[in-house]
Amino acid sequence: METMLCEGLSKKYGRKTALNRINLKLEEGRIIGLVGPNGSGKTTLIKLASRLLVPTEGTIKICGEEPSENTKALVSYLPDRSFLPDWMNCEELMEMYGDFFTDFDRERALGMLDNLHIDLGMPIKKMSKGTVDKVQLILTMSRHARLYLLDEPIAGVDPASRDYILNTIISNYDEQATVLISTHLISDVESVLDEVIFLKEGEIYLHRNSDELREETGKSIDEYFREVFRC
Amino acid sequence: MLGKLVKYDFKAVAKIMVPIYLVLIVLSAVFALLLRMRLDNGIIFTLLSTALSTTMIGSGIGTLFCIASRFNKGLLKNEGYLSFALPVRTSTHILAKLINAVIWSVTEGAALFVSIFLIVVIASSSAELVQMFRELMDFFGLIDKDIILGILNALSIMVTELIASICLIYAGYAVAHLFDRHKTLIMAGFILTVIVLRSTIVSEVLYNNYLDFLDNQFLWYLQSLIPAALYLVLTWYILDRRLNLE
Amino acid sequence: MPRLFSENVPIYLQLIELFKISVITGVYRQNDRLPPVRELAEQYGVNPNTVQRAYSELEREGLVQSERTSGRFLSIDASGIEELRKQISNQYIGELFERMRRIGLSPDQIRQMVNDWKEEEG
Repeated sequence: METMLCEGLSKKYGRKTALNRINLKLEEGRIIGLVGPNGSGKTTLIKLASRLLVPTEGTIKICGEEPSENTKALVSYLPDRSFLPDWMNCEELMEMYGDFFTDFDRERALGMLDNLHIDLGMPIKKMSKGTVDKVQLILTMSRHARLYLLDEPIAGVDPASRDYILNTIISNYDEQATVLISTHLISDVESVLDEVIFLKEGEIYLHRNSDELREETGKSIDEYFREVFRC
Repeated sequence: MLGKLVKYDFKAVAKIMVPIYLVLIVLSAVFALLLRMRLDNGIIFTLLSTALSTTMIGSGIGTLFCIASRFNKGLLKNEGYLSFALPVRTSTHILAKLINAVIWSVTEGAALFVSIFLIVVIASSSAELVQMFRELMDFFGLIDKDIILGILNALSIMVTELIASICLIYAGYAVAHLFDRHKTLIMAGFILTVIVLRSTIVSEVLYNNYLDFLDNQFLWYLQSLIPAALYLVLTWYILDRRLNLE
Repeated sequence: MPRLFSENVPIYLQLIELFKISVITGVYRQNDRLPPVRELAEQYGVNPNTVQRAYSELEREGLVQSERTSGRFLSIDASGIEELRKQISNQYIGELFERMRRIGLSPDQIRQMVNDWKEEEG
């Protein structure tokens, strides 16, 4: 059963078309990169998968079901911004995640928070942005979801922490799950990607296995991306 | 899920309102003591009474602010990314916010009541208290079933109006969410328009067609509940189908 | 996590090369139990499926034997190691010839330069 299936999926805002008749299939056990310039529709696609948006045309299915409160239990979404209630601390946040998500793994979260020496009692509003980013990622990756949607997970983070985050993604690898990483920072993540999707102006330019793409083009995914999207 | 949502919303408001209530109780007690000890002259007393009345009004405004803020911040700002990622229906979110709003409205009323009660009890001498109690008992003796029923009805209609008003505020936020700019203006405009429209409809349709309107309980409830339902449906539609967080 | 890989060549091929070098240099010995996919993936910062593909390819070449419950084992003998050494060396020589041809040298010139080449002192 594919984790995500899009058929003729479109999203329009008035006259502007953010996504244009997308056909896409994401299989389980893969780490997939969603890359494209700003405004290409990456975030729109992710929001459609997490039901923060509804389609204008076509369908999107998560594990065979259209997005609903049920699919939200299968999807772990990490937005590209700060989204946690800022008066709560990590202990309270873990309690809340455990309350709402049956697949939340508290032990895993504690382990990661401990590794990064994050104070469990400090409220979010007192933390630096980099630390908040890490907490958000830890909470997101501590769920045993079927689909992980990571929107720019390493953008605001220092290089050492980037390595830690990518390592976390690798070590949390689950054969039955799909990880979709939306990012600009292709060269930092490409060694981790099974497949890559190039999104251009709301349409899928390509969706290939990473190594096959490297073999065909003789280039790194980052290099090839720059070529395709040259201004 | 509904219970859990209410729990977290409750905690969020408690963080703000509980300290305010504590201040209110303390100020009330001190104010009453000063009265009791006949120290009710001079600067300190004046300052204290100002502080007390400010706190009373402030707690009301605070509660209103918290109710509005929980909805707007919790669903339509960055926290909305978390809220809408939870495996919960949109309708459940709205209901949870509404329940929490009613809980805190009642709490606010109770806090003010406790504050005044405290002042009366602490400031009065025992003789005065006994006298008040006697007069109260006499008063209750005069009340019969109908009057009690009347009072309860009035109260429940007021509560229904309160709920309808909260729903209108939510609808206002939802409508403003559809626009990128001038959100406050749009929200105010929407709410004002709805209030005017509703009064017009109520007076035109109901007063003219139902001569016994004022005595008809049922119609009183309807003219609150039907608009409330409409506001909720509008809010639900916008949050479920037209959400656009950024 | 050091960047061990150039990303313009399929990573699974680079993993295979790295593996063969490890065998030649004795990091892995005959009948050694090989690291599981996940461990290598984390160590190198690459996708587990890529590691899996490399292992599958190595199994196809007969270098790796996979037992269902006990894991993967190196399956090679002394002459096999020599074969590998030759294989990798030929690959490197091929790469050298390719690069030098690109800057205009003929195969004979290349061979001459190799003979004359002395490692720099100091």
